[in-house]
Amino acid sequence: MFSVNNKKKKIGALILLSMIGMLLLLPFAQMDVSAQGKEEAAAEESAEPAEGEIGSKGKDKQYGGVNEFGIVSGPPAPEMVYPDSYGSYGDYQSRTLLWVSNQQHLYFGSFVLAVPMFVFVMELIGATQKDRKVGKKFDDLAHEMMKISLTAYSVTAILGGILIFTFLALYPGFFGYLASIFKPVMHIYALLFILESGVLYVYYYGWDAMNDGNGNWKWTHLGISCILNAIGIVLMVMANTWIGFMMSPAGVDESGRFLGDIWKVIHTPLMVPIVIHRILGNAAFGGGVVGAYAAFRFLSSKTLEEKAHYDWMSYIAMFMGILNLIPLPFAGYWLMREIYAYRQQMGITLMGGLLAWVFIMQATMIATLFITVNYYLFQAMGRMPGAERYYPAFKFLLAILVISTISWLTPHTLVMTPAELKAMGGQQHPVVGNYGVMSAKNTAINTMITTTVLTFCLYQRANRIITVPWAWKGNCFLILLFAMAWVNILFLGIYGYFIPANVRIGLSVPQVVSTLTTLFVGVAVNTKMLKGSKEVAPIRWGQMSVRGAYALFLLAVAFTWTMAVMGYLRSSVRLHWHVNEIMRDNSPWAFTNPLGYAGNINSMNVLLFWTMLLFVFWLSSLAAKKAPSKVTADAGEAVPAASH
Amino acid sequence: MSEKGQDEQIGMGAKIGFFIMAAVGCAFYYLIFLNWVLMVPIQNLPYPYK
Amino acid sequence: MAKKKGAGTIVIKVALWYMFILGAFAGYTNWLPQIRGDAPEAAEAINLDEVTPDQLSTMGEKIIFGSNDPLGVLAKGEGPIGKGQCPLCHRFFLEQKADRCPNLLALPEMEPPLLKISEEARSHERVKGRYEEFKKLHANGEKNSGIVPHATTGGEYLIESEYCPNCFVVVGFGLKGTNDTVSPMPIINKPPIELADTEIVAVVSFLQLRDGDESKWTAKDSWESYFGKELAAPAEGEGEEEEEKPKGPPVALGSMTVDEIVKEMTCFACHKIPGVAIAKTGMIGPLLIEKTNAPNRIKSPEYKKAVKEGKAHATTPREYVIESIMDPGAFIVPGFADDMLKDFRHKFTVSGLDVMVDYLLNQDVASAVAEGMDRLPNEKEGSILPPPEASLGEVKSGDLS
Repeated sequence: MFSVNNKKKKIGALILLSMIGMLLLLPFAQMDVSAQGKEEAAAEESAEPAEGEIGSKGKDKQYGGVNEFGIVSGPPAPEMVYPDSYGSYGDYQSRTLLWVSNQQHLYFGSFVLAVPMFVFVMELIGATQKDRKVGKKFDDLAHEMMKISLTAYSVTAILGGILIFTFLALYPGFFGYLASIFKPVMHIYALLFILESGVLYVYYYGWDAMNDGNGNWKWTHLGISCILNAIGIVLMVMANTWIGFMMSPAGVDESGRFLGDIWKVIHTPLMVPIVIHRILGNAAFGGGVVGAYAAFRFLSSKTLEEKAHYDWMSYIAMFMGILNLIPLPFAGYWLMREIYAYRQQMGITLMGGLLAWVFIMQATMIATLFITVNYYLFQAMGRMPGAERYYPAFKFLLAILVISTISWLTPHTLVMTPAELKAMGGQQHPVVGNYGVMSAKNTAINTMITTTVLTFCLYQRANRIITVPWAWKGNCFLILLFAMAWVNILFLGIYGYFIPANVRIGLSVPQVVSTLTTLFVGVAVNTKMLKGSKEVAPIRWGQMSVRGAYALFLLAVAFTWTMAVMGYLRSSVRLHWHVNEIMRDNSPWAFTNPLGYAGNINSMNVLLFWTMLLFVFWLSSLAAKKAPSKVTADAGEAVPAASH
Repeated sequence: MSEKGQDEQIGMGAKIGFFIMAAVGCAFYYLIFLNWVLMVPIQNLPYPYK
Repeated sequence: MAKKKGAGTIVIKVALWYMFILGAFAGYTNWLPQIRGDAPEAAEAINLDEVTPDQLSTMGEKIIFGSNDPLGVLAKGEGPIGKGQCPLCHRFFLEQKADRCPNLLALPEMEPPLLKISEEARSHERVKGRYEEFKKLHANGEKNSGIVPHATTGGEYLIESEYCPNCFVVVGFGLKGTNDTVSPMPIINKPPIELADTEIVAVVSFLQLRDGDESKWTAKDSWESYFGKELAAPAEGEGEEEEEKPKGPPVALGSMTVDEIVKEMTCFACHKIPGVAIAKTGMIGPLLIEKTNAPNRIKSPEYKKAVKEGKAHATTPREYVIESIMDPGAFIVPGFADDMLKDFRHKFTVSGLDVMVDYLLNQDVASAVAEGMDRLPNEKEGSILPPPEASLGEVKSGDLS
């Protein structure tokens, strides 16, 4: 693949890459030095200070075993007093103001983190395509997205500034404490941010200069993309450490004294699952936003070429989003398990206590997402000649989805008048109540994902005629694979009613593996079967129904809204603590807002975000007008739906 | 060669035979192989209503 | 962007679609039950001398359920959860679902038969049999609370399990992989739940009075006998400071007073030590009057034998006392068993040991007599208190008066 057409260029590219790589390592080198310095300083102190004083031995709040003790290196968490430790703007809930600025920063931050990931994959596909025409199409798509991300990047920085000012104005005591704990890594965060900007500008403005198809400079450019994403992820992880510490503090003693090891503070019990969950969520969210952008351009395009381009783009974006959405519930289960392991009552507050209804809302959102995806795929088959063969299956698939949704939405207990209660003989309905427990809900979500996988398999085949000689075997196997997966998921779901909760949790594992089997084995077999298949006719890109585009908007909004409601949940589970078990919230806003209030704020936040984002889209379309990049390549013939 | 043409070349018995084999295979994979991880906690079931 | 009939209309259409979706989502959240989670209130101030068991029980009910009508709350479809958060894991009513922790049902007519005993009744069983294993396991104090399991009655058990959930874990309810030795329950008097001592007594009162028999109420007495001090009302804020003390395993530092060291090292559990307020009742180890004892012990034939065997090495009283603390097995005082804890060498700092040894070396027969302390009957060195009728001191003082 590497044609050595210019040795100098190659060497230059390598030097540039390694220099950027070295720069990336710089902050870590500094961290090492500072840690060493601390150890030396600790070793010098031979006197035995009194308990709790700086330099004495302190017991870690979270760690046991060899890591149980550390050297006290900071003051205890200050006790918050209202109004001294808090600021306020009149009687308005300080927390809500902080909530809004946090959420907006997070949305834009996720967007600028997710888009480069997305762009990296697109550019990589573009560079590895043998057909240069298709390669160029992917490359243009990546470039176009990067342009939007660039504007969003500055908005993110501005929102970050606003967030810090809001913290300082409204929660100075809390912010001061966290800043003192995270002091050893705060400047690394700032340095990385500067580095990120630099790499981003080199990446974006070097795009055309370094674009030699799939030559050396292109690969260097991809390397820069890699570095950009690495920095982005480290930045996100570092921002996450703050919330991880707030939820499950470690590396400090019972009263919040820093014990000298910043790694323990970063590596809290919930840290890893939160990070994984967030990276996947960001990627799905990025797909959703790009999809909405493409859908918007699709609707407003006047030429068929443009329509075809944006139809194709929206499909790719949606596909990327779903690819990350599917593992997301599993990451969620993992996070939940870790929460139960960390503090059981925290887990139950989430799933069965104060915040249980938020999960009903989340269930609604996830159900909305999956049904929308299926709906979009059904609509998208409208542009695939030959898909008519599968239309009869849609109603059955939809029926399965609807039944799953309903059983997922069934609340455990119902709100009733005393008369109704008496008529029903308890607050749980004798029949319907059975669908309200976790066992039923796990079954429902797994069934829905399996169904979505099946819809996707049908989509892959829509305009194809399978020619492999073992087609009948393949079909037979696929039918059994899906049918048996459903049987097992359902069996485990029912079995869950007969065993106690702590064992029931384990049932989710084989259920999930069943689902994943259909995803990996099913799609793999299906793809294999499509090898060498004949087309009924090429995909008619640009001929998707308008309803499909609106489904993409719904998908994007549902992504954003789900992020908001789960953020409310994650934050609320600390109840009246700023830092769980260490720093109590003593402001008048220590209560947990009811779900309806959160819903209103979330809708407002999402609206604000999308309004700003539309502005960003509009800005980038202004730039596009000046130098119209002609969309010439017709994707329709060249890009098979099953190739990614 | 069309899909149908392929089908016609294979006898019914072979088809049923394959179907049964695949069914047994899938059933074994899902119901036994996947679910055996459940066996450990189930054997150690505490009396749940203590 | 497209013009003509395009962009404008589409922006409006998309915006309307967004508004509709967002409105639907927000509307749905407002339709769902609205529960506001309030930060827990501070502990209620109560007058401990006048409060009745019933009042305490009512207060406990409120702490557990956040309401004095938990069944009513349940009927409304909400979870009755108060600041104690107990019903999150424990089941109190048949109508309530919670099976992560042992149930706390109290309905005599219930099925299956195991349910027939209430928590009050069961608590008496818990301190027997398997409890001994936990006593051994936590002989040096449970890691997180610093408490050594020492409940002897059902009431004390109930109190103990709030302050030290690991001090006894019911079979089947331990954390996975710990063989039922570690409880998933948080320590109730520490964050995040942080109940005050009186509140815990109130909760235990509720449990004890659930089947309506007031004669079973021992909560306050059990608390006092368990901790060996009087239960104080929360307003004084004293309790909290003391709660903060046990951090990590106990360590004797040079900066501590003798009283503190004796308390921290739990010497008082076995030994009587003159001049130390809490060490007046120990009946397991010798009376610690080392100014008198140490020189005699070194000279004793038993000690010389231990030296010959290479076990003991002390040549001065000071060395003897240090040796006895650091290496209790070196020499066993005749009449006693080798059951002193062996880990003090890890718990005393050098300066902390000096403080303790200096003090012990200053205690002699006179200081023990002054407090009416005597050697145990099994100490071969014999009683130090002369028989009352023969006591010169007594007679003399009697003469003078």
